[in-house]
Amino acid sequence: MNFYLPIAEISINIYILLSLGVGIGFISGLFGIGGGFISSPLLILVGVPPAVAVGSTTVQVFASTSTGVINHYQKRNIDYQMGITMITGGIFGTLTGVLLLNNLQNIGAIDNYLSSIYVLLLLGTAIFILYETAKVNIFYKNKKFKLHQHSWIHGLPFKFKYRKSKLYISILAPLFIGFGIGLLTGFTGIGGGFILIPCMIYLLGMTTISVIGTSLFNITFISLISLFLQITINQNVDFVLAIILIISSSLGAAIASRIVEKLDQENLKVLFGVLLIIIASFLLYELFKTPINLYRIEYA
Amino acid sequence: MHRLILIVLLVFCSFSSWSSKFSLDKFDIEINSDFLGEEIFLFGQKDEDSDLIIIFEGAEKEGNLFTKTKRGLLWINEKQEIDRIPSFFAIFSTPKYSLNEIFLISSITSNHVLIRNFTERLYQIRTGLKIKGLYFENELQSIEENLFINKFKIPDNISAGDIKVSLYEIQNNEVINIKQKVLNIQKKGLTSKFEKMLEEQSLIYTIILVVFSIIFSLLSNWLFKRR
Repeated sequence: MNFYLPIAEISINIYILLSLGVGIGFISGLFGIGGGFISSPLLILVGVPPAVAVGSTTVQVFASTSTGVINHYQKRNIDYQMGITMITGGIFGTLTGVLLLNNLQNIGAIDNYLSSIYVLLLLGTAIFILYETAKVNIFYKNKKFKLHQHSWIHGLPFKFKYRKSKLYISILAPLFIGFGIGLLTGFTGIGGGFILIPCMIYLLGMTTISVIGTSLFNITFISLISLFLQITINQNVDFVLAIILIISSSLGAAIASRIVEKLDQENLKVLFGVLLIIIASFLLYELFKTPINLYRIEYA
Repeated sequence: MHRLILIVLLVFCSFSSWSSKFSLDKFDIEINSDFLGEEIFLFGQKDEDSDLIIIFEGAEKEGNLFTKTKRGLLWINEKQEIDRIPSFFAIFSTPKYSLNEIFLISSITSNHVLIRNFTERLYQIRTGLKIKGLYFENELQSIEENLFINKFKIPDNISAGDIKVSLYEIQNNEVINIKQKVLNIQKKGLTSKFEKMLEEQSLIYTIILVVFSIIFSLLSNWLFKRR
């Protein structure tokens, strides 16, 4: 059964879309991620125009993180000073990302750039996950790691006291991290939690208690800003596609939350890493294969 | 449906003289949320001594032609801005006319931007549209003596706007008669409302999406917590 997507201006099989949403939600639920970096490339692979895939994924990211923020607000796990600093950087990053997407869409290079970035992100994350799993289970079994190590970042000027996180660091570091994540959200539609959380722990030295709440706080606001900018500047958010994604991915996430405790976490991580490599391989193949159609028309 | 069209066709022809004429089974198409393209019946009669060419030409819009060219290992898109690209273009003829033969009839080519000349660029645009299912050439199917009927599909990626349908009656490579009709395509219902809202009221569009996202996320969270 096909369904018409008014903004994408294509009809797509509803079962493919629902399975995709449930699958993305399921993976999000298993690994506690937003799932944007899987849904955008998968939507492109099933035929949704890249710009619409990016815009509509932003809604899904917002939906999947907003309730998390409410939960963490109630538990007082959010470092608002840190969150606001990152959002300030993120606003400029998002605007840059949305304008970059608009520009690349106008010159027709969006598919190549987006696919290349997704391949890098997916492969990078897969390698990181597989390496971390191997490090903990094989190389350094039973050894303790020190999370907070001082680096050049702690020597930057304009220092500020973040009371909740008990940090005295330069304001520039969270501003730049926020800018980078905002750029990624605006350009690719992903929330960027899988990059933001390691940055907050390893680069800023934040405590793990406030990291999740603060990252969700940041991602929710940045995805909201990105959503507004995508709608205003790029007009690429498909209401129907977004709603199908929200409903199906919520269902997937709920299913995952029921079985996650019964599964072996280490095996799951390896499986997730392999899944990311498979998606990246498909995108890589699409990038280098000889195109069947040499000409494409797009109406203004 | 096919039988009904045939009956209409026979009645249509029995009360008229043997001049060429055509009709469609519908002249209005609505694009709704369940729109998956639309099948159209083109039918009519032709004068024995004439050939027929029927051209469907959608409203012209600005657009871009992207051509894939290989640079190193990657295939890069090269963009050309085009002022006038029809949203749909179909050619039916009996007997079958090739595009090269149509090019020789200037009174037809001068009316249609997409077949105006032999240029490489127009070939590329036609190919681009063909890939999207928005361009094709077909022979009119004769059913009885001088009657013809064809079924074809307007694809789901069609843009809203009028499609001009022109019938050219041809003798000795000269157009002796032209008849025109209009097929109207409109976006209706929720589809049209969403598109309008996205273009004109982006803030409201954002708010509706945000509210829906929050409500649904809270609802699913609550439902699965309760169990």
